[in-house]
Amino acid sequence: MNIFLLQLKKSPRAIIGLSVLLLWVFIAFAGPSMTTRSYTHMDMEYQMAAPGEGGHTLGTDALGRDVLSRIVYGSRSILTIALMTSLFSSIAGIIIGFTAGYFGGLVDTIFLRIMDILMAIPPLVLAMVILGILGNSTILSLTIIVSIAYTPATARVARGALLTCASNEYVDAARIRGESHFYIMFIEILPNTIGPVLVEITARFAYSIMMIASLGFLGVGLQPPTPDWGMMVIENKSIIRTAPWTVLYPSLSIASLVIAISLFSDFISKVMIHEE
Amino acid sequence: MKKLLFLAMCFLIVTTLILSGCTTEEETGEETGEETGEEMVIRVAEQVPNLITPGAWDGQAFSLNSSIYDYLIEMDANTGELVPALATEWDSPEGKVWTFKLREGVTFHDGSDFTAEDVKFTLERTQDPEIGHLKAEDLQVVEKIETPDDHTVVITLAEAFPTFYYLFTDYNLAILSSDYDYGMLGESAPMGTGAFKLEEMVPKESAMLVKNENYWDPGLPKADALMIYFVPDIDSSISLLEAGQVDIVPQISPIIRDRLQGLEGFTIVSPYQESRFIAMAADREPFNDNNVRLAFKYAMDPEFLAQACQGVLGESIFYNETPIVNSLAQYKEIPFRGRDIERSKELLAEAGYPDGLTVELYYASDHPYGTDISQALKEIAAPAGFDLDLQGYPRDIYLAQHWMDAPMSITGWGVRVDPSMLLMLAYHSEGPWNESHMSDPEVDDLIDKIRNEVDPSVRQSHYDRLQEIFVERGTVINLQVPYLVATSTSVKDYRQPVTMLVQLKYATIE
Repeated sequence: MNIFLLQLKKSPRAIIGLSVLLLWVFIAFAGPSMTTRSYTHMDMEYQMAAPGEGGHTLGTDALGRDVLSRIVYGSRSILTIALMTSLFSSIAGIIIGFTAGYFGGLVDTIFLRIMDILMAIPPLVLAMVILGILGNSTILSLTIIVSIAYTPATARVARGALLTCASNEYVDAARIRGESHFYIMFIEILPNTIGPVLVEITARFAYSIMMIASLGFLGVGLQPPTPDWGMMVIENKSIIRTAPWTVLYPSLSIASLVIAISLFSDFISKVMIHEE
Repeated sequence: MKKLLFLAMCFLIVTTLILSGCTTEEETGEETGEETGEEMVIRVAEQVPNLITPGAWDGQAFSLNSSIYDYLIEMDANTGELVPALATEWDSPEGKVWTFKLREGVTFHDGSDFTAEDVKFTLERTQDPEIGHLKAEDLQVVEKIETPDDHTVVITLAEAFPTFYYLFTDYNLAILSSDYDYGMLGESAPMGTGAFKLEEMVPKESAMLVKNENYWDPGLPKADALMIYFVPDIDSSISLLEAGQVDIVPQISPIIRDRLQGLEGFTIVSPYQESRFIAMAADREPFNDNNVRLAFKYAMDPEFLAQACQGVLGESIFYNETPIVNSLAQYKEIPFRGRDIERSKELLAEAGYPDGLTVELYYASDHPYGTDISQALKEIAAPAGFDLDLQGYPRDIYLAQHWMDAPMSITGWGVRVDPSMLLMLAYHSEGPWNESHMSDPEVDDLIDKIRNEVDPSVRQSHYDRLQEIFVERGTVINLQVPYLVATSTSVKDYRQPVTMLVQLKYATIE
């Protein structure tokens, strides 16, 4: 941890990334107390009001809804889904990747081929196909779908990490002690592969945000009036000239969050490589 | 990770480029129209149609169909009067036996003559169960079709139907050739007697139409050709208009209207009002209880709904609780009941929902006004205890999968010149498009009486009573919204009467 903090102090990019990320997390948690307006409230006196008009700090959209409130509440859904997604895809990926790598042989071949098939389909297309079958999105369905779309990549990374450790002496020692497969995989090997796995989790976090925003932009994300940053961009694209703030601020929100996570993820990657 | 950073930067750059790419007034709308040498080509971007053969045509691709096909009767877009088209005269002394005199010297695009047999074929085709003709119910009243000569059709009805001739303005009653295989060719090579004939069609992409040199109305069409692009996304259509690549984009949203009005080079035409019916299914919970329907009506705020549609109540947006639009003579003005949240809550409590209820509201998210109305409804109905669960789908999916099976829905409806056509279609218990599943014996009886009544004043009294019933226990809220068309200023004489059948034969590019 000390090395981690020491390295962090030396990396202004990581500090910026972490600060912006923490800021968004704070906004998501403290959202209701920061905004006095509901994200669905339509202020018909101020339709497409410019930032500052009528007390709307970031302006309003065509239905008179406060852009700031929608961005604040939107941060909750996007961060929740992204966090859950990166966790679920990482857990599923680790279980699948470790099982395949540990047992090898036919198990490895079957798991790898299934992962190859899923990876052959672009994640966004895969997510859209599943959404098309399931119907309209909810936070739960989006979480499941994005998790499925990203699990194969995580499984591959986890399998690779396990294979590099599987021949180590402490694994042989555990086998000789008669430990169970589960114990060897998740108690002996997992802590020693935490570096690449952690890097993968943070990377999936950023990818998930891009994916959720993209699904919203394509109109298959969360249903209105739930604020979704990607949906805010697409539903206001017709008024991009008359009310550019309705598109600009959600776009900046997406970009800032993804860049922040990417910068921090880069830092974690470097620290882990250094440690190894 | 660098790839991800690159992607995020790209997202930001693209957004910035879009914003900075906002062109000024001087830069847009100048290169509209296409008049090269002697050729005058009108270019239209319209929605991608589904089935286009008249009969089961769902009312998309108006530019294509109304240019290829003709009707017995058409409406003058300027006066609203019905005028002769393929029929030159029509008459029925008692409303039971109708005689139509047909225009002579008319030919189909394949060169064959238009005769009474074609009218007979068109009408008989409505009863073919394989077609699923949308006018089948209306034309069940036809008992006998006779063709005493090539240019006379005598239609005998089972009972008097004084407004029977109005049916022939319906877009699904285009006159077809009895010698043409519409089952095989209707979708790929539509053929009629219209002002333009099909030159080439790439299904779901585009259609090239050329002037019908043998058109029965001399001097029409004025343009030499019609190029129709089927564009799935209205924003893409508007981009084509702004880039000068098309001249006409029908069915735009009020947001786009407001944007284009701020630019030079474009004209917004609002030829008529259409309806957005907020339908409450009467055959299932919770709207099978009229108290719940009334509770919802008491929660309404018409002014708020009008503002959500970017309009002004009483000027561009109208609200009523009957399906009959206020521009028709049959409309009966009944004052709005007023927004009363307390009354609404009482009614909900009486219906067994003291703590409110959740209702799924289905709508077409890509259809003008759909998303705006749905979100406004959610907002204004919430204080009464209605939690609307919005279920927006692309229009194709909405119509195919959800429309007729939704507890609550918002659907776009065009105006029928004779309201009895709409009532038969959507509010008679046997109506093929009875979206709110209304099954009220008194309503059925009144619709039947309206269709059969010869005396206009008695007929109007039936209309009055029917509208009172709709307000008392009806299943619909009717929000009238302007139908909007964007054209380049070079387009002159764009005509589209309330029959919805655009008359591009008059249009020119200057």
